[in-house]
Amino acid sequence: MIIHKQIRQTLTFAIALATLSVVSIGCGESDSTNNHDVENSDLATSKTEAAKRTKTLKKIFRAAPSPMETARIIQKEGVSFNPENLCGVELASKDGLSSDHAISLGLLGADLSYASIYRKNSVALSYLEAVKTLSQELGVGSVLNNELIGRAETNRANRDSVVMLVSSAFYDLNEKLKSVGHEDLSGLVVASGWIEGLYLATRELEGSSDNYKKLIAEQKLILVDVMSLIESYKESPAIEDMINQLQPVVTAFEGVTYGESAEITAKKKDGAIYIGGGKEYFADENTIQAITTAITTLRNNLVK
Amino acid sequence: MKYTILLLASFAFFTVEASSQCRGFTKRNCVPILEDYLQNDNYNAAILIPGDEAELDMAFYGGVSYRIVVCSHSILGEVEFSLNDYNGNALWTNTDGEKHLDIQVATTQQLSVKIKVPSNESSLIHEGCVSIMLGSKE
Repeated sequence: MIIHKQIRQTLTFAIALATLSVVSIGCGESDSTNNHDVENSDLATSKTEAAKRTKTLKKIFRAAPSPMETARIIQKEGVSFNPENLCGVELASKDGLSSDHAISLGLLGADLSYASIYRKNSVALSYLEAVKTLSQELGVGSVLNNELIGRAETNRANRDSVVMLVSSAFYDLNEKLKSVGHEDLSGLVVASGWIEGLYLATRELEGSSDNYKKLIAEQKLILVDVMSLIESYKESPAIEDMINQLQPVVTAFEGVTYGESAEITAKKKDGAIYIGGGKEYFADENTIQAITTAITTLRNNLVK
Repeated sequence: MKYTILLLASFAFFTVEASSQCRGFTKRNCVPILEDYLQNDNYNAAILIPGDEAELDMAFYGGVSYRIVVCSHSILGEVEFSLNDYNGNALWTNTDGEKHLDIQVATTQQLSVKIKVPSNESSLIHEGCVSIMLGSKE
């Protein structure tokens, strides 16, 4: 009996050791950063691991346009920048749960994106510091390290460099939060970033063009992305709360309409695919006002 | 009991290790393909096996140029990817084994990127990292 138990324990230990001794899986590492093709030479010679599952699956990824993308298209419409519309950087120092910090990170991240796009470099740098504080609170402070902050300061006069640095940093933050099992927090960052972006976009509606109002109406599609993204994490109470808080905004966007859909076409030109057709979205004044009211209420509630 | 815990811990270690290597793979092999396109801040990567599929749905702004990168470990073979409209109709497929696609859309609309890892008849199934990256520019 004792011998059988010992054999069983030894076998279990041996299996564990064998598993641990298997080398890295088929992701490999490449030394080249300029080669567009995956480095095959390193990967071909590196040991690869047998899959831990045999049943195939379909992985669904969810994403939304980043606040930087939205800020850029809004700036192109000639909308002016007003620093008074941004959240105060002191939001980064408020006490709270991780979910509160994630929401603040999204809000301030969107403000940082806007300031960067509008070349308000000193404003951008102060928001970068605030974002750094919050990332430290969330345990992902290694992303916004002193080296990155230093590069942003050195390149402060170069809008494109600052924009690239900020975008890359937010990608790294998203990746890091997911890697440590905080996908729900990454979802809150995305959601609150969108909320702040739409809030800022609705500050300058007076006298705006029809095209600008169309941009607001099109945010209905981005809201679909955001809701889809956060609903995949709805086991989290904070996410559940965010979904509930977004419902008035969802309701307000129900007033957005679209005309007859033109046939979607895809034509190749100069190495790119041009996709024509699709729906033209429209929001009347009442709908624009409803969206503005709903997003203002939500955003101000998050900032409190 | 302690040996069972050790066994479970070793599998947990590999899950984290796989995730970590996928992040490293994405950074080294996929990010550079974006070149001067502004990186979207969503990380979309997973460990897949032959026969797996993946899909990313997202709204693309009208008048903006995008680069869609599908980057995968060579052990998985030539991963197929296609761009589809919101009705699921294929607009483009990487029939020539391309790893990225540049697009511009006339009006803001939902598109989906669909990926399929080719099936493998081999008795030994390898897993590998697959990453979808999005970049935009004016």
